[in-house]
Amino acid sequence: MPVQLEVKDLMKYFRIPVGFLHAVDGVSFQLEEGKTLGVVGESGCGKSTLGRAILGLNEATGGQVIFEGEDVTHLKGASRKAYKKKVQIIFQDPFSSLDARMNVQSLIEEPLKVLGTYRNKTDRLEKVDELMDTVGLAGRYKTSYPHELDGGRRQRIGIARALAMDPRLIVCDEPVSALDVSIQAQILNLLADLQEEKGLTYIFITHNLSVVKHISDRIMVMYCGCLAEMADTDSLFEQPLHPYTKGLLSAIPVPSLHVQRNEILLEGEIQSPINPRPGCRFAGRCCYATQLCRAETPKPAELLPGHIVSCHHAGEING
Amino acid sequence: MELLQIKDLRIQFNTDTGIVHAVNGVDLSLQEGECLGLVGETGAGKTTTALGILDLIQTPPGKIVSGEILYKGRNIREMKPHEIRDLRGNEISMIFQDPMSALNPVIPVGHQIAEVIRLHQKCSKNEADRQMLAMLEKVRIPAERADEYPHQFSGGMKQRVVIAIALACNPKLLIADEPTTALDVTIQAQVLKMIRELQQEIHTSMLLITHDLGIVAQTCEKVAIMYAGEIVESGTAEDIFDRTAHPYTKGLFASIPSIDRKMRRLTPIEGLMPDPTDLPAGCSFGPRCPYVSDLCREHKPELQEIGAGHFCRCHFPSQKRSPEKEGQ
Amino acid sequence: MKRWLETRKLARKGEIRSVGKFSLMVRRFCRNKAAVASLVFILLLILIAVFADVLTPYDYDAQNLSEKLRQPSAAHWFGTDDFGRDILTRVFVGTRVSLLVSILAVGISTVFALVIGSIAGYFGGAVDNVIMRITDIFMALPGMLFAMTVSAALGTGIWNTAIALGFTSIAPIVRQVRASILLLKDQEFIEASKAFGSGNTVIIVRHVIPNAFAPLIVQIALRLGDTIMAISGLSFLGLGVQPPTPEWGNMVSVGKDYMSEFLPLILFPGIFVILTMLAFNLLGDGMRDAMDPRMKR
Repeated sequence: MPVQLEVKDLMKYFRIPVGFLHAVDGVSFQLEEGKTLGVVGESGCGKSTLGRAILGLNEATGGQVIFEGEDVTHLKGASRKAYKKKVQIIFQDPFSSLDARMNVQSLIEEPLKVLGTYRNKTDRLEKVDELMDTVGLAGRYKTSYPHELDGGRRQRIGIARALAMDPRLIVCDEPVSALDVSIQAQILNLLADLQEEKGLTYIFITHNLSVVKHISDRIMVMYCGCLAEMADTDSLFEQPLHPYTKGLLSAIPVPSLHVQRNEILLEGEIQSPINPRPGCRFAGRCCYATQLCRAETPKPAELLPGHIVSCHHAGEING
Repeated sequence: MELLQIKDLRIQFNTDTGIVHAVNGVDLSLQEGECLGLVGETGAGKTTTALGILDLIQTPPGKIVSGEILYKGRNIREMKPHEIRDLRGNEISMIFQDPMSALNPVIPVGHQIAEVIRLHQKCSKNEADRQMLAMLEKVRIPAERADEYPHQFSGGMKQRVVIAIALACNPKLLIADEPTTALDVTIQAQVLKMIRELQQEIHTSMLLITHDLGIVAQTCEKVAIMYAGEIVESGTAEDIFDRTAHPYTKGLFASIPSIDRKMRRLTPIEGLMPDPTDLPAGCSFGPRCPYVSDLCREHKPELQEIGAGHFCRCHFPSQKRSPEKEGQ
Repeated sequence: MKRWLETRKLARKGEIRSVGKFSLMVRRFCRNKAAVASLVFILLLILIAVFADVLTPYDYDAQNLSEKLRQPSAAHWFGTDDFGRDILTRVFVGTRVSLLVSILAVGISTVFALVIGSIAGYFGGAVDNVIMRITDIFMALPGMLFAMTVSAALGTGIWNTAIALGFTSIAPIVRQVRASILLLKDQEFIEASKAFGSGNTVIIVRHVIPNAFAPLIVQIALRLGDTIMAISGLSFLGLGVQPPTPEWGNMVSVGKDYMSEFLPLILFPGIFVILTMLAFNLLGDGMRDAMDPRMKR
C-alpha cells in the first residue's frame, strides 16, 4: 500500500500569556492508505491538536504535512478547499458538533451544499437518503432533531456528514468516548465496515486503550506533546518498550478476574506542556530516569523493525 | 451483619414528557466491610439509587414512591430530617464523579477538610487541623499543600482531596459515584488503588457505581448489574464474571473490545435502552434480548436465586450457559 | 458485508419517542401564569392598536369644549380631557403610537446590533477591540440623556423618536450578541462546518446568527418594555410625539397640570404605560425561563 499521509516533525504551539504551550512538539509518522493509526495518550497530551493540525483546522507552527505527495501544511484558497474534501473529521461529542436547530436531513445536506457538485436539491436529498442508509439511520429520522436522538444515532449523523464529502482520510477524534459500551460496539463495527468497503484511512484518536487495540493497525503513544512510542498494534501490546507505555498498559482495567498483570503504578502527574525545559518529558515520573534524561530530549529511534521509541534507555531497560 | 439493605425501592420523576420510572424495585444488600459494584449504562438509575439512599432526591420533580432503605436495621425513609443529616457525612458519605465542582474554589483545601471534621465531630480547631493533616497524608498529599486552593491542584489531586473529605469522619458506608471517570487511566489506577487501601484500612463498606466492568473486576467482591431501573443480575464477582447468567450482562461483556484477544468485529447489544417514561410490559430487556419469547413479552420476570447468593432476573435460566459466551 | 446489513437493520428497530423542543418550550411557558397573562394583555393591546378607530364612536381629535374634563360615565368610560376629547379613544390611539414607535426603535437597534455584534464576536482581535471601546463610550452615556440629545437634533415625530430611541439601545444589545457569539464560535458544530470548507459568511449566516437569536428574543421583549417607558418619557418632556397626536406620555404630561382637580387624564394613560411595561418584562422573564434548559423538569 502506498503512503498516503506523511507528517514530518509537526509542531503546534499556542501563545498564552506566560509563553508558549507546546501542544504538539515534533511528531513524525507515515500512514499507508486504507490503514488505521491509533493515537493514544492522556488528556492534554496533544493528540486532538495533532488531528486538527493535520486537517488544517489549526495551522501548524512548524513541520510538514504531506498528503498524497502534496505539501498541505499551509494551503490557501481553492487548493485548501480541495484538500478539505479529502480529509474529514468525526468529533467526540455528537451533540455539540451538530447545530441543534437543524434536523437530520439538513445536517447531512450541509456538507453537500458546501461540496457544490450537486446543483439541485433533489439530487442532494437523494444523496442524503443514500448516506443515511450507509450509516444505518432509518429514513423516518430525517425530520428529527439531534436532541431527540440517542448518542449512537447522533454519532451516526456525524459519520454521515463526514462521509458526504467522500473523503480519503478521516480523523476520528474520540468518536466513541461519549457512548455506552453496547452503543460503542455498534459504532466501532460501523467504522470498521466503512473502512473495508470504501478503503478509508483512519487516524483514530482516543484515550481508551482497549478500543484503540481493537481498531488500529498501528499505534502511536503520545506523552506531553511528544511521540513516546509507535509500533504495529501487536508489537506494542506484546512488547512495549517505553516505560510510559508499560505503565499505561498495566493501568488498563481488564473486565476479568483471571488476568494477572504485573502492576506498574505510575506515580505523579503529567508535566505541564507550557514552556517545557529540555529533557525527556516523562523523566519526572519514570523510575529509570537519569541525569541524561533530565538534560537532553530523547530522539525517536527505531529500536526494533517498525518499532519506534523515544527513550534514552529503552535498549538497556528491555535488555 | 447487614449494614445496608434496600428493599423494593421505587423512584419516579415527574417531567414534561411524562413520568420517568428511574428506579423500579431495586433490592440490594451490603455487608460490613464489603465492596459492592453497581454497574449499568447511562440512564440505568445507578446514581438515582445512590441519591435515594442519602435521601437527596430533589422533590419535586423526584419522589421515592415505595420501598425500604434499612441502614443498620433502621429505615432511613422514616427518620427525621435532623437524623438523616447526622447520618450523612458521619456514617454515610459520598464521592461524586466530577472533582472539579465538588470543591469550593475560594477556600483552601485543608480548611475544607477540617470544616467537615469539625462539623461532625464537634472537636476543637486544633484537633480538627491535626486530623486534617493525618487525612492528607493518607491520600498522599504533602501537608504543606494544605493551604493551597483547589485550582492549584490537578484533577487527580482534587479527587484525592474529595476522597479525604469523604473519609474524614471514618464513615461506615462510602458511596462512590463514578469516582474515576473524569480521570486519566494512569491517575485512575492510582486513585483506585488508594481507595481500595483506605477502605480496607478503616473497614468501610463501599458502594461503587460505575459503567466500567474492568474497574469492578479490580475492586469489588460483590456486583449488581442494573438495567432500566432494575437489578437484572447480582452476586459475587465470580458469579458475574465467570458464571454470567443474564443475557444483558453477557451482552455487556461481548461489547467490550478485548485487550487480550484480537477480533475483527464486536457483538453489540442491538437496539437501545427503553424509554423510562414508557417501559415495556414484560421483561424490560425483552426488546433487545436474543432469547426473547412470548412469556418474556407478557410477564415481567422476578429476581430468582439461581445459585447460592447469585440472583438473576430472567425467565429462562436454562439458556444462560450458552456456548458462545465462553468462546467469544 | 452481510452481517453489516444485519446490524443496520437491527439499528433501525429501536424506537425513540420524541417531543419537539418547541412544544416543550410552550409547555414550560404556559406553566408561568404571570407570563401567560402578560402575553394575553399584549395581544389585546395589539388588537386595540389595530382597531383603535372603530372601537369607540369618537374621533381622537374631535373637540367638544362643552364636555371638557368630565368624570368617567357610560358615554365616556375614561371621561374627557381638557378639550372635551374622549380619553378612552385617545388612550387606544396612543397604544398604536407607543407600540409602533417601540417596535421600530427596537427593530432598528436589533438589526444594527446583530451585524455589529456578530462582526465583533466572530472576528475578534482589533476589530472587536475598536467596536467594543465605541460601545463602552455609548454605554457610559445615560440612555435618556442621549435619546434627548438625538431627539433634539433630529426633531420630533414618530420616525425621529424611533431612531433616537433605537440608537440608544444598540450598545447593550451589541454586548449581548457579542457574548453569545463568543460562546457559539468555539462550539464544535462551527468547527465541523469549517472542516467541510465552509466560508465565514456561510457560517455566520447559517449557524451563528440563528443560534444567537434565541437569547436575543428575550432581550427584545425586555427592551420593548423599556422603550415604551422611554417614549412616554420623551413625549412627557415634549421631545417625542407631538400633540395633537395622542401618545401616553404627552397625555400624562397634559394630565399633570390637572392632577389636583381632575385625575382621569393622568391616571388612565399612566396605568397603560405601567401595565404595558410590566407585561413586556414578565413576558421576557417567562420566555427566558421557558428557553433555559436548566429549568427543565
